[in-house]
Amino acid sequence: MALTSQPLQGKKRCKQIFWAVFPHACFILSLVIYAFLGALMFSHIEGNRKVNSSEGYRNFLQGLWSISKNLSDNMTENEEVFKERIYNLLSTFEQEWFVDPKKIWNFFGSLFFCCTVFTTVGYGNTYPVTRAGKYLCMLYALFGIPLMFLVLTDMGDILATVLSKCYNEFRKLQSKIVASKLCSVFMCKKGSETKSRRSLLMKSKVVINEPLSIVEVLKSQSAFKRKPMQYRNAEIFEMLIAREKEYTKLSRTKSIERWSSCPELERGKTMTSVIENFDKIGKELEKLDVPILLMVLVIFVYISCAAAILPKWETNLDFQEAFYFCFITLTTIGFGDTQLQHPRFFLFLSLYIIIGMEIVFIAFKLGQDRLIVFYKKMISFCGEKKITPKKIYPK
Amino acid sequence: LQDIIQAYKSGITLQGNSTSLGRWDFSGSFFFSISTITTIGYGNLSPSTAGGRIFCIFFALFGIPLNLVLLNSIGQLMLSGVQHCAHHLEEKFHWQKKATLLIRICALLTCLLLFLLLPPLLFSAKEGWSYEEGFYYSFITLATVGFGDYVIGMNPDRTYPGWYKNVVSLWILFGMAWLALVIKFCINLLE
Repeated sequence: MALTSQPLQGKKRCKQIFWAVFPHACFILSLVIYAFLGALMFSHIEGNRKVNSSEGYRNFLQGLWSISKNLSDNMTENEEVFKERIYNLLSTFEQEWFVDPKKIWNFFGSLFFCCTVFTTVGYGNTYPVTRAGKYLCMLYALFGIPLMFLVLTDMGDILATVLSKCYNEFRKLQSKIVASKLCSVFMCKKGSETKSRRSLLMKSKVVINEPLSIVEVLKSQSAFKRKPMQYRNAEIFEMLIAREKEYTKLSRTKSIERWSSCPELERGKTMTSVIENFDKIGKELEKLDVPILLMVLVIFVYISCAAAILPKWETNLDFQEAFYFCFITLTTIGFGDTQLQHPRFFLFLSLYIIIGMEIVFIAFKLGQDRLIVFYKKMISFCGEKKITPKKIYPK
Repeated sequence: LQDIIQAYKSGITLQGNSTSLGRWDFSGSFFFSISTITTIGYGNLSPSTAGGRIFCIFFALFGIPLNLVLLNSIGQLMLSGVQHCAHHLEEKFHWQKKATLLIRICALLTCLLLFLLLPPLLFSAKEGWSYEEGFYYSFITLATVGFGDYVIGMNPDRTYPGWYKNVVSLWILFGMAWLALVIKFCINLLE
């Protein structure tokens, strides 16, 4: 029996790993398929655009010809007249005249365009000109942007867990080093005092709530460490309300759990865990609590890596310009002022771009939370200032 | 002559007779900051000096979360406004609970009208675009894609009234908040 159970266990593990990875792979694959489909459609619609020489272009050429015809022999006079006339003529310039749709809207060009649409970067170096192209672009964005958002949130969970684990390990290490350095008798006593106080807080929280898992308590601990005493009550209340909401959501899924407790429905259990995983999307992101300076540092290091590599094949960009370009891309602003010579190679960095957008997304979420905390402090500070003058004359 | 055309192709633009949204004066810079913070990023105006770019990076780092907070609060405000209205109407006319769904759909349709269907009329009046182009511009702006092929206030031949830019900025703000709310609702429905 022992011999046969081992390969069975191996198979079980493989299955477990497969079903754990499956939802994430599902999202990414659907995004890739969506991008490829879009590229095909756009290259068909925009690439086959009929290029008719527009009237504006003909007028432009005629203007050029008449200027060159009317140049007199006097050199200095020529320069002035030429400059002024060319200036006026060039302001009627339109980029459309010099663009060859077949070259720009080939498969890779359309793929690049589709990526700029659903990531909402929107450079604008290529954009649809035909009417059908514009409508298709709007429809494509309508479905592509939420899909991209879903992929981002999903992978953001993984990144958030990795980040918070690393950060917690780092803090444990830090506290260990500090504790080992300051281990005199008095300091040890003080440490035990603060520990007992903290455990009292922990216990009081556990008494009010239903029993939490250890991991959750540890995570909430790190959240409490930094906030001053006065706001702890408000924070506890808010966390209580948030946890109640979570439990009402959990009770919805409990009905699925009950019938899958039967051992014959073992396969059903994996399916329900997969379905539950879909519900948990975005929960890790909300629990993340690392200092925002760390996130900003991570962003800068990440962008510097790409900015160091990018000038290798984009020869007209130096480090500073590549850094600026990567930042503007990863925050999805996407001015489009920096033109890429080889957009194809940039597509190969798509995994890097997705992870980069993740990190920026997480950093912005953290920034939001910090801002809200800051506003609350300011408002309560202003509120306190108004109350204290009244207390001077108590009855 | 070919060199000039080559230079233009590679993106060098003429400085000179452009509108107030195409120069780096106050309104142009204000519009640029808005397009950066909301991550629309038209690109008709973008910093070219090193100092400008570094400042732009830090500006965006602080501005984008600020904008997200603002959008969230505006969204909550609009949501609570709709719920208040629903509550009032329920109390006044003693409708059933199903009426809330109707009111929500009604609110959605009015917002759709206000933010996506009416602005193209304004744009076609002021910019001379067709209705389709105006709708395309509204959609691409509210989705924060922002190609930059169509940008308001860039035509030097037209005069724009004083309230035009402010109204458009307000529309961008509320429209984006509404769209974010709609997306949140859709994701909640899917769950």
